[in-house]
Amino acid sequence: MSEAFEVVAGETRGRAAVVRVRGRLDSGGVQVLLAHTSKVLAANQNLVLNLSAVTFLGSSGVGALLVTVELFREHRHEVRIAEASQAVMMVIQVLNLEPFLPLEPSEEAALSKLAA
Amino acid sequence: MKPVWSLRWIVTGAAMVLVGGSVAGVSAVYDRAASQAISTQVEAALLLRARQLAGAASGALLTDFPELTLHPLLRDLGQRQHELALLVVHDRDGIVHGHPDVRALGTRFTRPAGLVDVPTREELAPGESLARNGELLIASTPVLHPRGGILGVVWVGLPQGHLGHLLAEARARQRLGFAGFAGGSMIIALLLVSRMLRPLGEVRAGIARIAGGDLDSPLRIRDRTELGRLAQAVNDMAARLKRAQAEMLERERLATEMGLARRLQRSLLPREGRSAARFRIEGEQWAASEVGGDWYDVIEREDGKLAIAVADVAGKGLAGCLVAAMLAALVRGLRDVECSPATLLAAVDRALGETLPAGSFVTLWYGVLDPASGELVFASAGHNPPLLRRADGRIEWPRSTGIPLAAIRGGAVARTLRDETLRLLPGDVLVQYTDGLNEAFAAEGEEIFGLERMAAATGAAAPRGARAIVEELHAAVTAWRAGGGAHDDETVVVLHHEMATAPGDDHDATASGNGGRTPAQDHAGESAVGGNGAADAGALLAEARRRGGALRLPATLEALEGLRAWTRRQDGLGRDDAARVELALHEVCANIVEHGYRGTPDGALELWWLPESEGTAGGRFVILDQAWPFRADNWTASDFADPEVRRRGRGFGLDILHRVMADVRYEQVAAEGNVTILRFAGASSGAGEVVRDV
Repeated sequence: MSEAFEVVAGETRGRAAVVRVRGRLDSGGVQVLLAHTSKVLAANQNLVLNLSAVTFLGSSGVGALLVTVELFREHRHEVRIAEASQAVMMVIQVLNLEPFLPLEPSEEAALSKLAA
Repeated sequence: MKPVWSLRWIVTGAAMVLVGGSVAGVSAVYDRAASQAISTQVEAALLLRARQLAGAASGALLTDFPELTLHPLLRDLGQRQHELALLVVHDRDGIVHGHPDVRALGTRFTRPAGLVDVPTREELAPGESLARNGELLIASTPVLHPRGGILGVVWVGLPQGHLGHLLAEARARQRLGFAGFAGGSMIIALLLVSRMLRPLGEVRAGIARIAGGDLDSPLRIRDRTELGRLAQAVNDMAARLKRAQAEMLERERLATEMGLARRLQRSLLPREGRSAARFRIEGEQWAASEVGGDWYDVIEREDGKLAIAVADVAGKGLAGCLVAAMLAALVRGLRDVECSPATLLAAVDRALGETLPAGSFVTLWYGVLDPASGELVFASAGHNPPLLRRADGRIEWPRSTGIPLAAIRGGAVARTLRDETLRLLPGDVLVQYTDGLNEAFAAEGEEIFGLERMAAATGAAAPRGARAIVEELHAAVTAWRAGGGAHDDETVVVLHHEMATAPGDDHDATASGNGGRTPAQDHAGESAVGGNGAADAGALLAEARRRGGALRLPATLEALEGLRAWTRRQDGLGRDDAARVELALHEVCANIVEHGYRGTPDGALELWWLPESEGTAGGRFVILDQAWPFRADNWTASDFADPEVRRRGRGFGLDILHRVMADVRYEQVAAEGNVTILRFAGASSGAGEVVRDV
């Protein structure tokens, strides 16, 4: 069974777009993720990225997350990562990236932080 | 903000004050003169009256009864001129013979007291006097005998009050007149000056408008004075400002357009070099000061071959970039449809011919490389032939006929295109470029960089690989230009067939292909790098093989998913440890797959886990591959606090590796391949944390 990376669903809530992904986020999936997040940025929205179904996060995946956060910041928008899975949290802890990736326990929490 | 004073009203006010003041001054002077005149007049009249009486009294005093003549005379006079306060005629002895009042006749006359002579212009005869005291102004004249001798004196007097009264009357009349005059003058001054200065108000309003940004309403002053000129100057200034504003907006618009064009152009180019089998393809573009329409791309085809395109669009600015964008789309769209470069170029020509403006054309070189065999099929539509430098240093310029796309419309271009084939052997370098490179002008003089210098620079950098060649060419051209600006975009694409053997080795460089052997196996005959380390690695590998339990994976990213199950199964690794270890192993293996094997289809990896003996936590992972050796020197930990590092978003695999593993070593073992040894000390011991400020 291949856990290919895919974007499962997405919706717009106010000025934020919620994007849910699943699978293994390594160098193959990074392109797909960046394509989706670029569309969100182009639509002038903030981003809530639900990573609860990510089963693996490699170096290119975490790099893509950092790049996305920086890119959105440059354009004066925000990204919140909601419900990071255990795989995601492990990489973030190994690299001590907590200060650089805005994590929220739930989509709702992320959306209310963005609306504020 | 300080209030602005109105010059117009200041000047008008001053004019009125001046006029009023002048009139008042004149009036004062006139006043004095008039008073003088009136006094003199009154004195003269008085004296005259006295003389007249003296003349009449002369005859009367010679008679026996002068009163009979004089009394009625004086009584009538007194009645006619009430103001005369004194009217007396008396003889030599002072006896009054003439008086308006009958009872005074025959009395002795008393001179009024305190008489002081009045200075006068009138000529006084001897005995005459004009004098005043506190109450009266008196004129006296002697009455003369016809044969000489004084018979008597006439006294005529006016009260001072009367004179004062006269003066006051005159003064009042005069003052009224002057006041009227002053008032009228001031009004005229007001009207005249304020009217003349009205344009100032207009100028002030106009300047306020311009300061507020309104450059479109000129001042309407048709004055013939300096104010009219001032208004004209202000209007001219506003018009110039407006023009300058429009020019600036235009410049900004152009700069924005240029910025967009530059970004668009950049976005059409490959972001990084590419490897396929033993080929390395690097490209770069250096934009001229004005954005041009150069384009290049390296694209993978469905059949695994690589398509390489280099184009020069004749046209600058945004227009050139848009044509380049069109080209990019067309070539990408057709690369899997058309097998032959010539037919692809013909199809692009048809599409371009319909959309390009008349007179525009594009030179395009298109080649399809089979990385496995090194065969390159190419066609050229008017583009310069590439430089081909063989491994032994020979230089060739492989040509293909063809005129530029859309040079002639209607499909004629297709008939001139032809496929050519060549074979790139190990050590060969193919350089395709646009004429911004070889036609770069020297700083002084008209000599161009030229093809020979290009070949020389390529040869100098060839041993160091494709990227080095790209940079050497740019450095050489930049040095050639020596500070002069670039007129054209400089684009270069380098295909390098890397040698299987180490550089400087004198193996046969023209061996065709490798018969499926991998690079590490080619190194087999050489002594292993690192002496002791390699021997230890060999021993460790033997030990690993003895213990068994290896994981064998094909060298693909998908296969790495198998690491999860395998790490969970290993003895001595708790669940958390297994997860961290899987992460680190994934990074190492992904490196080997992507950079070591670089798409070679039959690569494989083997992994072993060698736990420490009982009682000691942790163990070692041994990974064996036969790919290009990985050079991990010069690695430094990423500083995530640096936003640039985060923006790059790449290269974090080694950070993960070094944080999870306590020790990382790369060795090469003869006849085996590359051996990577990772020592894992267990998460609980806090191993693998990298000290960042090394």
